[in-house]
Amino acid sequence: MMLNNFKPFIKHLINNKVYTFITIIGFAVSLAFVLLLSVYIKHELSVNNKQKNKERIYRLCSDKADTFAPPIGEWVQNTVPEVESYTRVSDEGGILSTDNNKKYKFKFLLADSTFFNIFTFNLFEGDKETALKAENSVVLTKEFAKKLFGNQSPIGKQLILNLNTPCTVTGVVEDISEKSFFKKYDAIINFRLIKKLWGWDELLRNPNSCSFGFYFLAKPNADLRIKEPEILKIFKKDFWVYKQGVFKTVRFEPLDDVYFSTIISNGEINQNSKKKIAILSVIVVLILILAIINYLNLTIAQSSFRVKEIAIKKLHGSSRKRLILQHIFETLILCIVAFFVAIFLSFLVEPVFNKLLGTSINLNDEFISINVMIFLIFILLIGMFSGIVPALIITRLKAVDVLKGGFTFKTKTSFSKILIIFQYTVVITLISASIIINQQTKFLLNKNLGFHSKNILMLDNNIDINQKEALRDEFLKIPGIKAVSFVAGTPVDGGNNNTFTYNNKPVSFQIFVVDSAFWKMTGLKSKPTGTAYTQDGIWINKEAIRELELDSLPQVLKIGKNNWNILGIVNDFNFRPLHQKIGAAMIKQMNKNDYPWNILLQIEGNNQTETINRLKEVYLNFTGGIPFDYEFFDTTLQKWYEKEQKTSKIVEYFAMLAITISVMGIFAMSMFYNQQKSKEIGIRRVNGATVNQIIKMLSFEFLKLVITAFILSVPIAYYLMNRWLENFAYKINLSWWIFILARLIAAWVALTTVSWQIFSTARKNPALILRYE
Amino acid sequence: MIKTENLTKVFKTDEVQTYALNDVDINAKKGEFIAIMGPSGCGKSTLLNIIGLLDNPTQGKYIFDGVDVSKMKEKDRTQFRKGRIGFVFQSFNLIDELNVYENIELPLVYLNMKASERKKRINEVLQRMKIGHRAKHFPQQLSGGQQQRVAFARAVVANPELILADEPTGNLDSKNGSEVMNLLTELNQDGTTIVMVTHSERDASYAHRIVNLLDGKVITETINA
Repeated sequence: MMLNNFKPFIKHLINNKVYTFITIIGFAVSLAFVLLLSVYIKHELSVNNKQKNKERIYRLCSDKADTFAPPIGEWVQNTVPEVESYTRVSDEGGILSTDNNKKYKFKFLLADSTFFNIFTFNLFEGDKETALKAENSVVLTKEFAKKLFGNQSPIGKQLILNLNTPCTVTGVVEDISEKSFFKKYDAIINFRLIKKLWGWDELLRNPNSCSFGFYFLAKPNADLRIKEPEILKIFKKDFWVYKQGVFKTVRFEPLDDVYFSTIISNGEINQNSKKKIAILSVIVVLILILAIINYLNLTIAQSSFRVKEIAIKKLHGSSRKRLILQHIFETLILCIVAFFVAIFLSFLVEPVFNKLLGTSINLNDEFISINVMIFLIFILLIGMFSGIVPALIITRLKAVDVLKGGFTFKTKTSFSKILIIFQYTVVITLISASIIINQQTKFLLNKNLGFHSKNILMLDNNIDINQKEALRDEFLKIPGIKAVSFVAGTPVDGGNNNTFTYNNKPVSFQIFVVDSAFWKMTGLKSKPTGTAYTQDGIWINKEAIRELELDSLPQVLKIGKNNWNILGIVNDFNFRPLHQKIGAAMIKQMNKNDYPWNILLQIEGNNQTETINRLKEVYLNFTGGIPFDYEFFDTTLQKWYEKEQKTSKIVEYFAMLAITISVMGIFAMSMFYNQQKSKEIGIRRVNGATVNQIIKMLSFEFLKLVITAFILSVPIAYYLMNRWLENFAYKINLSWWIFILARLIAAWVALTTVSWQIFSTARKNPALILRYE
Repeated sequence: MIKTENLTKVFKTDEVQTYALNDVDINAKKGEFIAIMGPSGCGKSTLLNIIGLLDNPTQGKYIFDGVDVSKMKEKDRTQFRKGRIGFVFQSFNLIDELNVYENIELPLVYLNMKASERKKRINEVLQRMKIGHRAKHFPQQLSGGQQQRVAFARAVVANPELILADEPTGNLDSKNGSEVMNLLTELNQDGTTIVMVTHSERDASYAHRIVNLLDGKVITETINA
């Protein structure tokens, strides 16, 4: 019996493949986005969940930053009896050598011995009470310990930090994942070692160096926030940054607020924007509402084609309740199919999603029974709701009216029209935004920055000054190496900032110290000023002339006691991402006592792998095995705009989602519309309208909606994109054609979606239409 | 004016072929009034659709004013039909969203007639059908008889040579039905050829000639005295 009830439904789905496809795929795509975004939001809201003491941990902040000087922790602890312990933290990187003289670059966190008592980490080896007690103690992560020592226990092993500081492994801690509260580190090292790393014995007692983060553990049931005024009073009296008014407030920020805090950390922890999570939450709800409404509209519209089946069943004794249940059951089946497709799609796009949002969600982890239950109940509710509305409408009809042929399935379309206009406003806005962001990103990546960036490779310099020339000679012997330059500051790292007082005004200069090979390699052009060459002569850029209001060819730059001979004026070049304007730049000559930070190598475009392998050999020989890390200028420049490239992709995906949802919406509406207009079409055809005229008339009905959406979306997109472009000092102009193109794309999507139905309706024999009306 | 030879219409489904019309020969002279009668499913409406160029026959010839239109493409049929043929239906088939004036205007719009000329013609026909005071009303605001008058006005506004009426009194009471038949007679007396499908002997009595169909074939033709 059940199968007999179900048969017409299956046949109906097979006969209406386009409807079935759009309903299931449209709903599934929306559900997949909802699923992924919900998991992401849940993940972001539960970053600290594994921290057992999270209710008791506070970060110390001022109104501007979260960094304080090393002795501050002790001051606070002595003043506030509610403090149980504290740890200082600092984000560091360096080189670690093992006893077999292998060297590894690694990231480490400096922390006090209390660290493992405050924060919850699983120690596989060592004791959390004592692991960081000794000054030279190092706790390795499991992954890094394996890299250094294989399957051997590392406890007690000796390591050399930054080629000069011996330390001992005292523990192995669980791996710190990239997206936990703390950033990914390879090791945690006793904070007191900082004085050796910085070569400053007094550092731990010095209140001047405000560079370190502080986390306090409160005693149970204590709230440190009520102590803020007391601490502020003391700081204002004794702490120079408060005395001088640099910092104005003190805050004990609860751990749960730190992740979304507007006070950006000094690099030890991951943070996210609360606004972003709020926007994404709104998007999730919006996608869900739109998807459900579209799904409802589609099922209602489609149900109208089955009125005859319902009427016959009614005439033959089926109760209304039974028909409603049948309808709900059918909708539930569609919903569950869409649900499984959504799960499949989610797994498919999970890697892309993680890359775009810089996260590491794992859907497999979410497949625990409670989550599956919640999602299934949620789907069942949507299915029930989406089924009951059309069921109530369709089963209300009078069977006799249907069978006599006088029944027309009429519903008001004004709500659908508003919905379509809203959806297309979003679509056109997103398409415009996507084109504009794409254009701006292309502009950023392709703009001539004023220096060569192709085939220039940059290495960290780790050799003594006196080995410089020998290394240059060895590099130049490698086939494929065209030039070698030693520099302190490059156009891609922005050089070193120095601020001078000039004519009683502070002037900020970026300083680049370069050798003679640098000029040819980068292609920087300069105009000689005619000043006689001296070893300490400098070049300045045109922007510096503008900022300092100098003559066009100045000979000398007098700043304080310094008198610099200006040898030439360099054309402006972008040494900062194009978000910022070019600033004043000074290029100095590298003397034999200047320490170069980097080595630049200009290499041939072909056989680069071979050339780089040879470079590595020479480099390892000279540095005694310090890992060979290099980066091309072009790659660094690309990284300047990673955020824009990601934004561009995210907006593209949202545009695609919006299009998918709008396709569902307009498809449902065109079904309604064509059905309701079929009588009118028949009459018009009988009275002389051609198929083309009917197609034009019907298409215009939908185009009208898209045009309204276009009118609404242009100011929105224009405003939003102008705001976004304000982030850039160098930007594209917003052209009118972008908005027109977005409208054309939207119109094309809309017409393609409805064309099949319009065409088939317009071509129907008018006599047949009128007979069945 | 109208001549069919061996007109055949077959409706095919996957498994069945149904002969809706089978070798129908029928003709109507200019100014003639013909009634087509027969039981449901005998092919009356199919014949009317083919005569009205809404459909093509499967086989046979259909000559309209000396032109063979039986194999015309849909687009050409529409062009040919425009202004030549007017339709009146049992269920009036007015567009609910258009008022009386706009409903009548419809065939003229598709003839690309100038607005001023359209206005003149519509006003004339509104007066003739005695519904001038209803020009701004919508179909739902009119009685059945008035709606059928609007349908008539629309059918005649382009001065067609042929009017096809598909059970024009089927939805009307006897008073309104008589008025409709008087209107058809008047139109016919003015020279318009009329082909009407009907079940009603009374309505058929207004025609010059009655063609009886059964199972897609013409079985008798009777001339009214």
